[in-house]
Amino acid sequence: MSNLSAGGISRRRKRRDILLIEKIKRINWLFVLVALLICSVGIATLFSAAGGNLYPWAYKQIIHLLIGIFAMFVIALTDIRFWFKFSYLAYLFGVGLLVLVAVAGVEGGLGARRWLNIGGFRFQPSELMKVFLVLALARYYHSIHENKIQKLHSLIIPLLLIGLSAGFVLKQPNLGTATIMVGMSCIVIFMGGVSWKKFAIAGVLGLMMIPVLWGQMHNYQKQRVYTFFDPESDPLGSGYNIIQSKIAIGSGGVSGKGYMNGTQSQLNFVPERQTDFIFSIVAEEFGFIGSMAVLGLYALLIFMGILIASNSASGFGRLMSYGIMTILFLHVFINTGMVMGILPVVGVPLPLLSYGGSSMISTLAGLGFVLNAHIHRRTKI
Amino acid sequence: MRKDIVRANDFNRRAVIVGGVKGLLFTALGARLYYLQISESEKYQLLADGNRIRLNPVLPKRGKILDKNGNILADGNPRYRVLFDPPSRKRKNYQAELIEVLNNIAEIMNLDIEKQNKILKKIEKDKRGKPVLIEDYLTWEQVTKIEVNSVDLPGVSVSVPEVRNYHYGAITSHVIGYTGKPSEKDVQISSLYNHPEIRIGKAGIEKSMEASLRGKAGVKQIEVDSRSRFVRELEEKSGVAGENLTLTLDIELQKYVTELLTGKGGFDTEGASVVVMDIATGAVLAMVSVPTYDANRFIRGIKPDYWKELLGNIDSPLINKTIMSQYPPGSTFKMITALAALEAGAVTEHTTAYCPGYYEYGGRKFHCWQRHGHGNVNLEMALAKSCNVYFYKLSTKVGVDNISDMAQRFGLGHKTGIELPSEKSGLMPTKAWKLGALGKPWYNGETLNASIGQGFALSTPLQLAVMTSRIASRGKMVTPHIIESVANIHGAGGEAYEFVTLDNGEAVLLPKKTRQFADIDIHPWHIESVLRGMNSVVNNPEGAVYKNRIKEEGFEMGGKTGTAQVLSNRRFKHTPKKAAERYHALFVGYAPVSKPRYAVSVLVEHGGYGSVVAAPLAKKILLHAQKIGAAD
Repeated sequence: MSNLSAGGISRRRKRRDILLIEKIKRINWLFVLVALLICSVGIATLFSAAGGNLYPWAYKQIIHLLIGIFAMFVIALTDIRFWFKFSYLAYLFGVGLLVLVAVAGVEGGLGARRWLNIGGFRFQPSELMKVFLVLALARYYHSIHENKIQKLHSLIIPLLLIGLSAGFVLKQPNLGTATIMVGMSCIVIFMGGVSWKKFAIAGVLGLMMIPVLWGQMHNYQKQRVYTFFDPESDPLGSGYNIIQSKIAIGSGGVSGKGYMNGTQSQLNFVPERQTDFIFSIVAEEFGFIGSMAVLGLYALLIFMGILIASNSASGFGRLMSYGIMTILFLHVFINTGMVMGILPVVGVPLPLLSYGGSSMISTLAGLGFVLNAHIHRRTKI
Repeated sequence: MRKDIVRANDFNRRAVIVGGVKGLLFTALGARLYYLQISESEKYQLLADGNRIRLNPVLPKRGKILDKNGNILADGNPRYRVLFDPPSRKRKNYQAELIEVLNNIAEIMNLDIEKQNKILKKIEKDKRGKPVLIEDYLTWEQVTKIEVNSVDLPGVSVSVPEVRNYHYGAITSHVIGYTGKPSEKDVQISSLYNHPEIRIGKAGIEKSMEASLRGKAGVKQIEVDSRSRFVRELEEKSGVAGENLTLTLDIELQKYVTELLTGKGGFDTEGASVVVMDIATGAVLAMVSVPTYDANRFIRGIKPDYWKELLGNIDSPLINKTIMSQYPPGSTFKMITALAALEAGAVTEHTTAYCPGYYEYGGRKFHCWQRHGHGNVNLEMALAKSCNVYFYKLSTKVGVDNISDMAQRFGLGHKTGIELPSEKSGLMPTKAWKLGALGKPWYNGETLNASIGQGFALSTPLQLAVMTSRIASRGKMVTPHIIESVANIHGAGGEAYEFVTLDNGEAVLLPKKTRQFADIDIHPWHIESVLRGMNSVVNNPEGAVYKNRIKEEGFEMGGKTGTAQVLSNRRFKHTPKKAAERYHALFVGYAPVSKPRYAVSVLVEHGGYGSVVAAPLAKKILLHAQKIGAAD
């Protein structure tokens, strides 16, 4: 029934702003609830991973969550036309940050330069870049004229947008995020209306590019691919992570070993258990039931996101929502797939669950754009 | 407006397709989870447990070894070792913590700088963070000091494995042996042997009775983290302590004999050995081989110079000569030749022979040790005077195979089966043996040599003691044993055990049936004849050992001397000695004469004549054994 009244108002005020109170009423609270549910599972798991301690992870993650929620609501409640207007600028801002990383970034493990130091906080601009890239592509395909969509030259700008941002990310190097950016962009371009034949051709070309890409890859990245195909070949080296992670998941069984009782994680056998491998702790401690429930929450969130996208009146809102949900999907699929040993280890966090401020805040910000599309689903641009 | 709807519809169509693919991929994830967590769960459960659970064996207490009167010969002493489990490297002030604890350790234990640096190096080298050994064999005083200061010593622990203690040291070394770290070969037998603190029997009783002495190891389940660091103890299954062994040895007699042989009794001996047996039971009351070694010095790891000294000694202190060395039996063998001839009906005890000092056979002169000859001798006097010629003549009538057969029946030429490792079987030649082993036919002249225990014949001192026991028991199949009983630590049982050789050749320990020895099928008169001769050796004024007879009433002994000729011996190549000094001096005896209870065999390597060197030792030993009632 709130839908009815909301519809009435928007019809009357066609091109005018919606009142803030109306916007708050329109927030998709179920969507927010599911997202926050996943976040709380993450914080509980981080508490367990630290041996029943708020430090070093859970406490900070709560702060990340609060900042993220704030960002999410600010973004959601801001007029969609504002974001439309500033989407290219946001993109340029993101690229600027990436340039800054390349120039003055901080090195993390394995010599990858991914972080920016801002007032004592370390931040990964590549996480935010994914969201900005969605905005830019959504705006491009919103604005492009019908007749031009299928033209080959119309692909130049999107490819530039992708190439510039993903290129910087790849150079950091951050293969995982770059992969997700490219994958997401393909989906957005497809959703934008580009014919599937072009994708078939691009797919063939892409396959032909693999040898070239292979040559460009760093040794540790190559090693990960080798390890993926045969983890047992180096059980104490690069195969160790994936073997231990599979043991953690498998030994969880149907109902798990119980909260804070996962031997693999509590005894430190699973490396990176607070970040990329957090799902193996969930699976170990809560078993098949728990891990399926978490996957179910993600699926529900993504499904709701897709519904929001289809219900959007504007192309920008549709593509923006769909793009964000695709990022989320790719993250979940690649991360859990790698943790379960069906995809190579590429260093992709599990959004909302993995420890890390950049990932948490960027993901919530992204969800803020989806909420924004939902709130402004009748707004024409 | 219409265009908008078209685009929205197009979007929705594509959203369903892409969303469907996403759904399929999610299903794949779910299927994978099902596979890992339900289908393969058991496998991963095992792997997870294998990751976190270490099974640490808990060593059982090794059984004690006692003499027949309950005196402890070997047991375990606690050995205090200080171990240090360094703090986790992940800790922020790891270095500071480490240095602080190390300084405290150094202060409390008075470690010098050099030692401190050594320990620090060890810790830095060991990336796995395993506990490091700081000091071994601490005194109780040092241990209490550590316990008192334990607050200042986080990560420092005292482990208390056992160290073997041999109460009589060198006196029992050859019988009991010693324990040591398992060799690489041993480790392949049992993974328990990987335990850093395990010691296993390397020689003697410690080796032959290893399974019984060791007991069964317990298991401690330890939970470890990914760096193999101890987290907590999950469960401990205690093992079963080793069984206590009671030997047949009388430590007092053993000690007496050892001191006698090592010069304290005024006898200058180099290599020598003595076996004293209880004729009634076959129990070995004393088994001494000199020179000997101190098993206690083997326990903490043999010092190189001690090891070198032992290996360099030409009198082989590491060899238990009573069972591992083989000698020609010499004239102690003459009883066997006599019995063979009597049983074959070739002679009677009244048969006399004339000894001119040699015997011509096959164109060769075979000499008697008495160059001028013994004149006319009967069997008794031939034994008493040890006339070779008499036995040369006998042997031509019986043949070597009969002699060898008789020797076998009296325990020569095969292992006695005593519960000790590395026993030699000796050798009693036959015609068939020579053809088989050397590919040459038997020459009749060799039978003459064989009749006086020379030539190919070889026997161990223990075999000679068994032979003497069988004769002195008037033809019982006396079999030696040195394990009196095996009892577990709780004192239960105390049952007597014995080794029984199964049909498949495997020796197993079974409860002892009453030791009733079978009869050797031999005519009692013939044994009596031989015993009379052995009595005369000692107690007849014309006997070879009359000077060294036991004069005390009721303690008399009988016996037989032997002088084993060692013709080629490396040790005399460069330092020529008189021929007589190359000979091994032997004496086999029994006491008392009327109702023999003790049998003894004495062998002094390169001692000279048996009557001069070995007999006086035997006399002292048999007298002492009777006086202390060693067999009771």
